[in-house]
Amino acid sequence: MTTREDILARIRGHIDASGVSPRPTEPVAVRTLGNVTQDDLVEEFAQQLEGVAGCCHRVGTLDEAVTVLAKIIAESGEGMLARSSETRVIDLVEQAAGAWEVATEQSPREVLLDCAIGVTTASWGIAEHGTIVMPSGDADLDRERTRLVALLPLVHVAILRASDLVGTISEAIARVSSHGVGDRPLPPTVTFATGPSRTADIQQELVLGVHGPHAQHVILLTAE
Amino acid sequence: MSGSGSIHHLKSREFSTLYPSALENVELRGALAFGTKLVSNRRDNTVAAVDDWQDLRDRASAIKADVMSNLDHYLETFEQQAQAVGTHVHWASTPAEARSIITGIAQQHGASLAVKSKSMVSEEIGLNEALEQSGVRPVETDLGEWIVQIANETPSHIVAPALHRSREDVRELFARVLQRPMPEDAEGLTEVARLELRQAFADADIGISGANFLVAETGSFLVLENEGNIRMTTSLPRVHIALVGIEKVLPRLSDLDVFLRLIGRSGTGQKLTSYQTLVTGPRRRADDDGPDEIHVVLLDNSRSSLLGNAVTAQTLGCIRCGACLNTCPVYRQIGGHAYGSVYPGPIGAILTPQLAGLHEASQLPFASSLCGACRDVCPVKIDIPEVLLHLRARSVEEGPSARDAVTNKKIRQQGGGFRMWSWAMRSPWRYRMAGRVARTMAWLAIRVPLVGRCAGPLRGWTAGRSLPSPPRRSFRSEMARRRSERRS
Repeated sequence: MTTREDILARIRGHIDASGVSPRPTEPVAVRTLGNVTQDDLVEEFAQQLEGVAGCCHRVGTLDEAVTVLAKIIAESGEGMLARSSETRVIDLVEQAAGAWEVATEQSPREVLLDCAIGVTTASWGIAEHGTIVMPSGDADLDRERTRLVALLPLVHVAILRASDLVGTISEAIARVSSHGVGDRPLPPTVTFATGPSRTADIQQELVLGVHGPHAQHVILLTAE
Repeated sequence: MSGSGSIHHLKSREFSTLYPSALENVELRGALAFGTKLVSNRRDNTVAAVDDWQDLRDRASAIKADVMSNLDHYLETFEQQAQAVGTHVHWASTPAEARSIITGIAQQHGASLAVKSKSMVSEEIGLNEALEQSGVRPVETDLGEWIVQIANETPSHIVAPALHRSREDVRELFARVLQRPMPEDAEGLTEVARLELRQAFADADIGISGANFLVAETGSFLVLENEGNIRMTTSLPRVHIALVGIEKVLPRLSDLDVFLRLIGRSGTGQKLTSYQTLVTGPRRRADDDGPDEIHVVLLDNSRSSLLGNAVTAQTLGCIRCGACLNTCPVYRQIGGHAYGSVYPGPIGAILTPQLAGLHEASQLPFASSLCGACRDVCPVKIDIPEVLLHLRARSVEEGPSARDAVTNKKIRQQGGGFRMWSWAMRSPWRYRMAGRVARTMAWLAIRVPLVGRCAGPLRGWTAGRSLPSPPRRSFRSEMARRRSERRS
């Protein structure tokens, strides 16, 4: 017998010996926040994100988004910026980058590791936690390569459409799930990110910014 | 049925010498009291804000019971789905098998550096030593785990590995190991660790992690964290290996909602940890980021034997949140290292003997006052006191060979006590006489200090406490006296 068969046989044998019969559970309905408008979701998302030391910038137009991004860039001093290749991201960065050198998702890893700011979109946002959801590597979902650009720089700026906000993690999982039905698998990686990276491993003292971004900005396009 | 697996560097037989030295360590007890109280208060506050907390626990407990009652089916489904997305699935009965699978993958890729994110299963099988022996340098990337790695010790807590160390401790450690002056504050020290580890992330050939959950339906695994080191570990190296206990599988992707609502709040008092990474196979496009190759190693190490009994099977529901450690009056005093196992605290006291064999850790099930605090905070409703009692009963039933010398002595003494009790309860005069003897002994123990110090098996109790004065006469004779007074 192979190890695999061995383990499965042991499991079966022990379950049979215990006399426990299968205790199947049924899936439950997707959990929602009830009757909420998009404005409610925007409000909740911003509040939750700020509660975990993230920054939510609500903007009506792309011009406003440019202003916000330019301000974030200006506050970061000088350095290099990495961007994904989503059309809107390219546009925004072109207008806001100023004197900053711009790297892209195709740049070598060593370059991305040195970037101070990374700009990508997020596919969905979760209002109850202020979370952004970024799938990677799926031909249909993936408008861009977010994986390293959203991770390696010290500051991550995510562009999110308000219409892509959902209320709960349960709804977000359902969205992810709907891209993995039938023969089509889930994207290779889905990242859920809530605020900047953090640790309390030294004497339980909260420190923001460890291996992931030290600052998490979300530019929320409320008119979309 | 006793566990026949093994736990790396298990020293639980030494519990009786480890815990007294922990109790004498004033600094350790300060760090423990501070850390555990802070986190459990935080947990209580975030949990109080959830209206349907008890429903959530019921649901989680039902899902885990579902999984354990049909584990072979869910594992086969997971394997099938994972293979369909290009993940390699390996099965390991023993730690040795798991180690050789992982070092084999590393050698096949000519790896010399592995970045690791915190994994208790990796501690359980002693993976780091095995990697070193096969020429691969393992670098722990979780801050707490890196601290204990460079200090050459083991984690003392399953969620906060360096809970036993103060900030000053960590500063001295960094200064000694890195041979340069160190900043005073936690922020500065964290930055030092970040910069030290960044190069390792960039250079590593393989990434190794555990997994909080496997999803049968989709062949995915989910890892939770706060620091971003798991995102780095799962994104940068070309090859990723996830080492996971067989009990970690869940039926459906939608089940994650329940567990995500429970685990962050229970573990650190966060509504949700900063990052969740859901991995479903290697990259599918040449121009994408992420590993080319993903391996999941499923480890049994005696877990399957716990399924043989509905009481012990509960143990496998554990999601390793650490809430039972933080709330436990024993853990709060002695910390993790005293248990002599990578799994300390209440969950460790039931998991360790069941995995490694009762005889290897027979003192642990007795190291509890059965207060039930662990059961109350457990997000999946494991009745830890029930399992502790079950293990105590088993260690008596299975006889001296199932126990170590210390437990044997304790059980003999307890047996002696119970024999005396049963003798005394058999007739009224025996009962009266036993009461008289006990009152005299208590009187002597108070008046004559030497008696208190030589109280034999009761010394542990009398050494640090003074007995209350015994009554001059028994309740029965006092009643008789009053009755005759009233009559006269």
